[in-house]
Amino acid sequence: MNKKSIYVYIAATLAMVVPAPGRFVCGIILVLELNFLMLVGTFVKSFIYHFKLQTMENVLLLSVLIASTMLVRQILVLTIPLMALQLGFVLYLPTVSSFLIGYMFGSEKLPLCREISCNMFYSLFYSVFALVFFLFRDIVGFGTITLLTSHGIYEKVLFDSGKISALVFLGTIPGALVCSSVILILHVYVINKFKILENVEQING
Amino acid sequence: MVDTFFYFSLYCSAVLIYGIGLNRTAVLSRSLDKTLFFQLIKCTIVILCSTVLTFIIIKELLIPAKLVELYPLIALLIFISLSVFVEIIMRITTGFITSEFTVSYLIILLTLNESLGIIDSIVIAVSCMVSFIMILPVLFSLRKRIEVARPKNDKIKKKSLIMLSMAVIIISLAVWNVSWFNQGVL
Repeated sequence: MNKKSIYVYIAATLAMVVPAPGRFVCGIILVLELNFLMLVGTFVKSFIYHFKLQTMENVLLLSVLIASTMLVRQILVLTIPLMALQLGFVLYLPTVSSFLIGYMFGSEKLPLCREISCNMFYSLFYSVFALVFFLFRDIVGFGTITLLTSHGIYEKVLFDSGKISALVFLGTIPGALVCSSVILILHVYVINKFKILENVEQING
Repeated sequence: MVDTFFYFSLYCSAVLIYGIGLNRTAVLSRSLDKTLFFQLIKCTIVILCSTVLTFIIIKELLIPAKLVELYPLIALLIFISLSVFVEIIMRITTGFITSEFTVSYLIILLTLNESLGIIDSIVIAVSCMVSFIMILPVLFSLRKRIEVARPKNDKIKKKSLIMLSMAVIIISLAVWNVSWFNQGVL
């Protein structure tokens, strides 16, 4: 992972993952939404270039992304109203996050298939990271794993939450900020160690 | 009204509690220059005008037609039109590029979600902007302090220290709210 992608991850985490409730089920919904928006956005971008509508690109793309978010929200209202209520405003965070907008507006035009595979790769890769992050917050912060089922939200209690009351902090926004900064520090630490190893090998070689 | 102002600017800060523009504040706090000043002025004007206009459209058109759920799209269209107009004026008069989307749009959505009347929406929009503006000098000074204390740190380490500092600020702001320690309320 290069430095640029680390910054993209930091930006996306601050914009999407940190402000969201620290439940795994929320993470699943946000990740699904992000991937759906990425797919729709890529198709619309290709449509815009195909019909030479570049002058309207910003407005068209943003309108479609917002409309898609509204569609996701309506689906949630119909299927899991509790989640729609809980997430509410948070559902719009992936739509305007620098992650999505960066890949939509920043990248150069590629053939449709290649663009879809590229964008979905980045999106899915980030989704895995986000899901692990949400899962960690859910388990450590609340002592549960929450999942989506056909009957709504299923909560599997792993251990008594009274025993880990001090760790509930990790379920909050500052807890998520601390978690993400610790991940960053660990990442930098590991990268630096690998650099030292590489330098030693170069000197010995 | 004063309660609402202090609620959205301090106790339930749009930046720190709702998480609007957490990333933007970390980026914008790098330098407090003229560009930032004009950017904030433009944002405030656009947010206030968009909020009021969207609120009127919601009240007069969307509610009678039972299409309230469409308000984010209406807000976006109004916001983009006004933003482009104000941006052109700013560029002609000052020469600075002041384009900004994410924070402004999210503040408009938050304001429309939380307000009950036009005056209420104006107060909430202003207080959200105040919360955004207030955090910038704090982060700027923190950044300077980190740079002075540990000049050899790379950018990523600085960023992680800034994030930790933001977490401390949030905790100190929310210290009065004991519900944070109760399971299941978050």
